[in-house]
Amino acid sequence: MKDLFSLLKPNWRQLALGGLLGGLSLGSAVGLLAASAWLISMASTRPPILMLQVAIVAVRFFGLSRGTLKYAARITEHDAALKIQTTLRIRIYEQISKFLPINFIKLSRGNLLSQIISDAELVQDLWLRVFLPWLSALIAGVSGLGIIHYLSPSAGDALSLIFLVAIFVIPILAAVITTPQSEREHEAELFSQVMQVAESANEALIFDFKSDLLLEMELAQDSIAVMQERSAKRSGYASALHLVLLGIASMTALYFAAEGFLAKDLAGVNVAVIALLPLAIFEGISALPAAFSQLAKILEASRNLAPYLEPIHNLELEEVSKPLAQSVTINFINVTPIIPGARCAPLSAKVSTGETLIIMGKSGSGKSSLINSLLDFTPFAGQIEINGEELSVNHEQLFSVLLQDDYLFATSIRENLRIGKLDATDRELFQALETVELSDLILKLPEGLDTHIGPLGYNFSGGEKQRMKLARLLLRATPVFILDEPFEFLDATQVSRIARRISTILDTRTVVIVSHLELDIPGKVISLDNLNN
Amino acid sequence: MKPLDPRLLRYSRSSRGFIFTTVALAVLSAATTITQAYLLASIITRFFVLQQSFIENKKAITFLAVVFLCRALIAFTIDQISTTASSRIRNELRNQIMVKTLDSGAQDVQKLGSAGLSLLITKGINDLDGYFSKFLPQLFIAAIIPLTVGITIAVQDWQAGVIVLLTLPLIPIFGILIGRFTASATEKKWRSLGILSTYFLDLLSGLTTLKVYGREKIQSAKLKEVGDSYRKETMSVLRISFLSSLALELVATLSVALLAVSIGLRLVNGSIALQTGLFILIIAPEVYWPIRQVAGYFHAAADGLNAFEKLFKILDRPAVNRGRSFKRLNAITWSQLTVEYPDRAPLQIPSGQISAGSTQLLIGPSGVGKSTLANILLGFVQPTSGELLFSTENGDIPLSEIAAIDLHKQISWLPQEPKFPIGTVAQILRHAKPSATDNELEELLREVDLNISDLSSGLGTQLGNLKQPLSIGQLRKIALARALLKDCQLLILDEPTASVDDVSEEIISKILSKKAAQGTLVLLITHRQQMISGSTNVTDMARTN
Repeated sequence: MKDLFSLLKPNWRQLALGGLLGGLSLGSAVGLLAASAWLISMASTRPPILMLQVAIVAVRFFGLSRGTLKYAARITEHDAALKIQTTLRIRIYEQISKFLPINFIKLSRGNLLSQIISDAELVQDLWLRVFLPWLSALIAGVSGLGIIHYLSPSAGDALSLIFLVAIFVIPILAAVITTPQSEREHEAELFSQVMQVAESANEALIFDFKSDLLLEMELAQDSIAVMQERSAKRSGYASALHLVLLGIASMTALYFAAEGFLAKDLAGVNVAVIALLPLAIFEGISALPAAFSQLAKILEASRNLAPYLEPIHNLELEEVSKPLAQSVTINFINVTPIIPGARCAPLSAKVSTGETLIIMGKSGSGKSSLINSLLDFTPFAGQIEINGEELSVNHEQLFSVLLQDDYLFATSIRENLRIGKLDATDRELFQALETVELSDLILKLPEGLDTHIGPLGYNFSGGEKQRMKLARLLLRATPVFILDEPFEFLDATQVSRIARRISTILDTRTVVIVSHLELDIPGKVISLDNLNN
Repeated sequence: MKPLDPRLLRYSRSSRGFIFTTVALAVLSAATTITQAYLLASIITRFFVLQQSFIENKKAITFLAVVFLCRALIAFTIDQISTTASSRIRNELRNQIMVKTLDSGAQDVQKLGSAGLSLLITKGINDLDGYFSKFLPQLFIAAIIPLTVGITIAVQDWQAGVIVLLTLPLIPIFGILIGRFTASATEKKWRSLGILSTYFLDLLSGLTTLKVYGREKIQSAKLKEVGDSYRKETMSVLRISFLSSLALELVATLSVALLAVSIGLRLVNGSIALQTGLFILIIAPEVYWPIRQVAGYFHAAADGLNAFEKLFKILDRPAVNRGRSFKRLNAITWSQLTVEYPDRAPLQIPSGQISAGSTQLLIGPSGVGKSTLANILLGFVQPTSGELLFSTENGDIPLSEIAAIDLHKQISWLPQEPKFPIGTVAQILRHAKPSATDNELEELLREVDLNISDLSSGLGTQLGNLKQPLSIGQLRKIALARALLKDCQLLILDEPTASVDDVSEEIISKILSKKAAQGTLVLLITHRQQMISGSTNVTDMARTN
């Protein structure tokens, strides 16, 4: 919660201005009703028309200002909220990228990520739907009650009391009785169910498990429905209670109007003003119970986000302390990745500049985990030495890595490739693409390097994507290259051509390749399967 | 999208009762609104003109209290009914979409992507909540209350009635005009917003890659940039929608102000009674706000309505047509098959055939269309031209004439990226053959070189959830076992050894020859040299292109 408010810092003035404008707009509604009630009451006493002029002008003024101020308020609030949203996203991104272990990111593919994103969106409602409307209602209420108090202090006191209940007690009640339950968990569950149906639709047809899938989805969606109905009932109670309170306020106003007039404390023309103003004042609060019943949900979202919200104070790039060595020797000494529920054989091997180490093995033998150990993503037993020293954390200057689940971004081919080399020219890009036999295809595309990858752009095949990732890697210029299953989804002849080319390009580097298929390139081959026996 | 699409009533039974109840409640709500205004006006008049006390009016005031309670009750009921109905209707739609999607196989998944489709079915349908629980009820309230209240005003005072009659239509007319004027601009902007909003997810998904490339810090600046342009785009969309609601609100408030001033002036003449004047003043806003509110909710429901169009596109698709069936497949021949994709050159698939008792090997570089041929045979992709014949015990049947359901019964398949529903290994294997015994399953897993002791709980190991304990290779072996287990006429294996080591490749060849010997047609898609040498029927897709 504290971290959430720290997000407001750069924009709280704009946000407060929005709330003030909203309050003035609601206040105009109060003024409009007061002025017209006075106008009509006064008119009925048949005064000279001049006496009505002021009221007529006031009616028109409030009529215009109400809408205009509301427009200004909404624009101001939304703009501020979106700025805060951007700050929030950047902070989440920086937190995850800086402090969280890479394993977290891997685990979180899919569900958790979309949850973070929807949480971040939900948090925005705290300002726009809960806090600002409350502030506006308070401003309008205070100004309306001020008018009443001026005309009849006793009515003002009594109505203030009711107003306090309406603006403090009922919203809090609404927030308290609607516990968020685990609706979001169920929604995430539903999403993964549906995702599963969508992904396995083809297999469901062939292996006939359609009805199983549908049944599971129905169960998930039924429990959501039950929950939604329950929480709707609770927020409904709060809204109904608010309407009852409005009735009480109206009765109270009628009482003080009648008695005040009879006691000659209140001018006759103000009877209608006092009697009707509560309707306008309480209208401003009518949406609060429903809004506050969302509060529990929003707070839960902010609790979920809490680990990603701590502000980062120290954001300068860490410079590498030592100059980079141009020749690098990696020495694996009895390295065993620690993976729960899996047994891996210890590996000992040494690879130096100009050499290639090819690690082979069955699926599940821990090949990829070895790479993750080298990158410090997976804990391991044993020792990995680089130029005789223990492995340091800063590896992106030293290593170029092709991960097995390397990611292509939903942007242009050029931008994707430039992740490999930020200032690469188109010529360099095509050179890399040539190596992986993609340049012809991309030249043929109408938008060339500007073609988008992904669902909104060109739909590349698995093999084409893999080769694109290889091209991106080849743009790098680090002393060490690590390739995890680089030739997946490629056919045999292509593999041998591309592998040989890559081997030539990288012949002055230290290269580690993990592969399940034999490669026809020079290098030291170690099979993890043999180590096992 | 019309405000109330008749197709909705067709696809959702719950929506019919819901609409009827809402209309009834809207009528009740109109009655209490009018009564309340009438009572307030008459009580205030009696205080002011007749100088009566609070107690002297206790009958009217008690009645007023009852009316307040009734309004609270009606509002509560409308709220509850709309929530319940909204979730029922959405569930009904979701079920029907899922059934349609499953029937169509890959079609929708291919078009929207599995994440896109899932988003449409979960978030897209959830976005309809605003439409069902807010917009629709308000639509009926807007149809009933302004009319009733307007008539009541006209009955009380015809001059005020004329003003209402002249100003009320301005709101829907303005609303429609503004809507027309801004629709295309807004739509275009929403689309670019869609691209921008996925950026954050994309970035987080690829964070591991960015991290190993050491590029994660640059992206913070990019995120700010994208966030700013996202905000500007959003604000320009919002400005349009806020401006249009401002216009409507101004029409409404100015109309009320017009009424108030005209009544005031006539009160001075004495041509109207105070009670009537007050009554009209209190009730006049009720004429205008319901319609404005509809416009407001319409903007809120707009997101959902986009989904509606996509949903109906899936729902409106005719049901799968009936076709011919077969029990025994002798051969498959295909010639000149062409498949057209958006944005890429049409794919030509070289002619070929498979006959019972042999294994047909399909080789070629990636992207040449090997998996596409498999998808055609599976009925997931329709070729745009060419001929594909199944020769069966019922003679030669073109694939397009075979009912999908009968086709699927006779095919077994190992996809390139197997997907499993949630369930144990045993459950998943038994989808292929419900009668299989544990022994049979274990033996089969051994045959595909999967060591059962490597699985944490043997056949009871849970699959299909996020924290997958098995390696990709192990999953593929299970999928292979599933494909082999099904009793079928045509077996399609798409890269069965993509991540399995060479040893089991021999085993696979052996299993496949056994399958072929039993009379099953086997189509094997591979890029592995070793498999190629062992087989007799080879089609090289690259050579023929």
